Amino acid sequence: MKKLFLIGATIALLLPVKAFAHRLDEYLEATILSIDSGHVDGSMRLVPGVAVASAVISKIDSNGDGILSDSEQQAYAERVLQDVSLSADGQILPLHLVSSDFPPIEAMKGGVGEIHLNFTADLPGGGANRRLIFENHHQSNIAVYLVNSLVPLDKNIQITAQSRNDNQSLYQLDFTQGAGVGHIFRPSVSGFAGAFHLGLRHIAEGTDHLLFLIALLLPAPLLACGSRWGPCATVRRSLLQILRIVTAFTLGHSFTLALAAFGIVSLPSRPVEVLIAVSIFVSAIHAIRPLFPGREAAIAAFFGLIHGLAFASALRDLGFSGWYRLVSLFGFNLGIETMQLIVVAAILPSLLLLTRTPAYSILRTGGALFAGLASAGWIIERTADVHSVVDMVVSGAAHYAIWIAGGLFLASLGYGLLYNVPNANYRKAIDFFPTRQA
Amino acid sequence: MLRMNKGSLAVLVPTLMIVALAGYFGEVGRDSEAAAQAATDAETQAVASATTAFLNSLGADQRQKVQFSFTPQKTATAATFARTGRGGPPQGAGLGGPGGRGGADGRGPGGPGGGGPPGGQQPGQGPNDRGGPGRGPGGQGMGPGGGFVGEQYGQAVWSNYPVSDVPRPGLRLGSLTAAQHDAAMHLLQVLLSPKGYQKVLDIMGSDQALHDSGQPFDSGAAVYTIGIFGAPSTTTPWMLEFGGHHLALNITIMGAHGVSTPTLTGAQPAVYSANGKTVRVLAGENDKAFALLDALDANQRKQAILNYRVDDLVLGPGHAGETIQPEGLKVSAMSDRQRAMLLDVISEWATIVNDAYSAPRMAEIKAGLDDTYFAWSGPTTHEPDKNGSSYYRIQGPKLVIEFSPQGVGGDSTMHVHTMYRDPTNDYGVRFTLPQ
Repeated sequence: MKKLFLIGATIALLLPVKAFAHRLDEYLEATILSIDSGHVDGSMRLVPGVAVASAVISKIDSNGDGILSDSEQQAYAERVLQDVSLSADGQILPLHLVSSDFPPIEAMKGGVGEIHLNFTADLPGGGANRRLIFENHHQSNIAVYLVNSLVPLDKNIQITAQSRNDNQSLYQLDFTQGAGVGHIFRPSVSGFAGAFHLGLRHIAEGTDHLLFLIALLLPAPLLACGSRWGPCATVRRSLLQILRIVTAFTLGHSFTLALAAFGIVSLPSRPVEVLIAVSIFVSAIHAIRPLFPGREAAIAAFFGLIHGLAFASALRDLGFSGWYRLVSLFGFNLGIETMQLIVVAAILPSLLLLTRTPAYSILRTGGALFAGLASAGWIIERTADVHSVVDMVVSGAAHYAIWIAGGLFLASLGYGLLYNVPNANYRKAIDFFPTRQA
Repeated sequence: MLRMNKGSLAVLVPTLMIVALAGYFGEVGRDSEAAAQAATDAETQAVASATTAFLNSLGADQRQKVQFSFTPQKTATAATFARTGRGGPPQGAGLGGPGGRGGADGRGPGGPGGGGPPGGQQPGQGPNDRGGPGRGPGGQGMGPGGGFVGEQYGQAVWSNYPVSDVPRPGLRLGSLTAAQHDAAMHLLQVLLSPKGYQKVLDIMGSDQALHDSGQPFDSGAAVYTIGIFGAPSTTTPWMLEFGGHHLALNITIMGAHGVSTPTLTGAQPAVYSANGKTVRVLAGENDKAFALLDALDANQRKQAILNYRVDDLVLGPGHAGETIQPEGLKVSAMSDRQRAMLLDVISEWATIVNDAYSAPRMAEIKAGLDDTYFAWSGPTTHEPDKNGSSYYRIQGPKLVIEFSPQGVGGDSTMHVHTMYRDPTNDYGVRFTLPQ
């Protein structure tokens, strides 16, 4: 037994001790975030490994007296907070230190000391779809980062996506915030502006509304001939047609939005979302083969009624009454219209330029197929409550909407000119002269 | 008339058959329920008897060291450091009060804890007769109350740090006589399933191998510590804690219920030789998870495999009751075969305790399976006869499992920490403190 012990001791002396129980040459920095309606709270656990402990300690013990005084602890905690950053929807949120706990210096030297920091930040109001970005660059040469979020207790807040870079120094959290609390809009002056913004963003980010509008506009410059899309209408006629469609859609959704906002009608959101997907699907089919030629405006008004119900859910539970509700409803609707017009203005020139070229049927069919496939995916997704890649693909495309629209315009400009310059009719069309009557 | 009768017969006969069948199966169901109830009652009876037998084998002073009171509290606290002067000796003032938690509901970030560890309960510890080579005087200068990085529930404390860094309340196995030692091991045998008991022995064997290689901290089977919180009973709640460096069993017993969350298992070295046999600790946890990953199709894998590194436990000691946003592949997108494989992985933790306690637990996990997620980070293969270096997490409505290879100072396939929790029922709070 004694011999064994001696052998063991000899081996232990000869071999470098490889098996350590704790972190060795790394600085574990684990952060857990929790979000509520008006705050983001963070809790950080910092554990320097044995081999890097003295380096970390020297950063805390600035006067090198071997004692971590209260002011040194405070200064280090603030320094950590300077090395991390938190932003909401692109706006930097100032972090406030709530508490800090430091282990005895000996524990840290042994690699078993954990520093605990708690911080908090005010979360200002924003839209329904929000993005939080947390970055940690503290001691990045030795750090091992972890970052997670607690499932929010506030049911109005739903985390929709998380992404990180490889070492978790960068963390992006997407969440939806139901407008349950007064943090979204402060009534009074900002009520209108906030609601207007929400309306703008709702269309810009609500890819399904966008897709519906585009699908409906695709065949607008054309005339239906029996079961096919035939020769194009005049530019004037096309513009009138587009104006009619957009106005009808606006009237439809304003009507139900107002009804829903004042609680006169209310429908569960699931069937509404499914119906919206159906409306896109129908418009997409219509763009390929005319289903309701000449009655686009009526159809747009009808589907507008459905989309209005969905807009209302974004505005629901604002908690405003009387005047404020009216103001925010007005602002919200105006925001929707404005963004709608921006979208129309962005794609209309391309449509008109390409109308008379063979490329238009490719654009129309391609766009319609995309909208049709996406909406079919949404119908399945929203009926069966499953997640597929549809949302990812469509919002991925929407992310580059400006580039796509710009590219489309340039392409159509180039192609349209090449194709049409020798074509007198085209120049006439551009000059607003009718070339053919229906 | 006749037709009427025929018509009513056509309705009546199937109805009666259905009623009869329902009655029959209902009765059977109730019978098997009653049988299960009897089994768990019998199990608690057996565990209580074995615990009493162990206590009876002890001397009065030993009993004082091993028994603590048990007061159910809503949640555990992140045990922090003794607040008694920087580096100074801890005031043995005993039991840390419940640490303040940040959030009003106890889910916010952990706040400052109360006092130190229950150092006062165990002055001097048991004689550590296996204080092996390499353990110089003072070790790393960490007496009780030094670095204190564990989880504290009432007077119970556990951690993934060695016993010398975070003392566990109770008696160390090395301090027991042969008869007392046998009584303690018999208690574990009654409490655990045969596989669970073997797992505990393998973990202790691994820690012993680490100890034999020479470490400047307490390791080895002799420092595994047993603590009893409350009195063994078949009606009132009590708790058993057993563990050491890489093991923390916290088993709360309340009548027929036996709850084994939170449980920490781990291994270092993950592969060792004992009595001419090679033991790979937590091999099932490793191999079954890799098998499940292999059984996923390309699309499922894409969802399951995270694109970032996870180098440590997220919900280790101090994170009781926390629910993080789940990630990875949702089980609702898994085939029946894949689900069975996942349940098999989960059983490595859930069935450490005996069948009577684990059966209702597995049923509960199965019930929430659709909303359970499987997430993976790291290589998708491992060398034969070795554990992998990949992290994985299984998270469901009532379940958190983390398997976290530790890359500290060398080969991460040789060192692993795992965590098993129920955020809704750690320490059996659902039974001891029903809402």
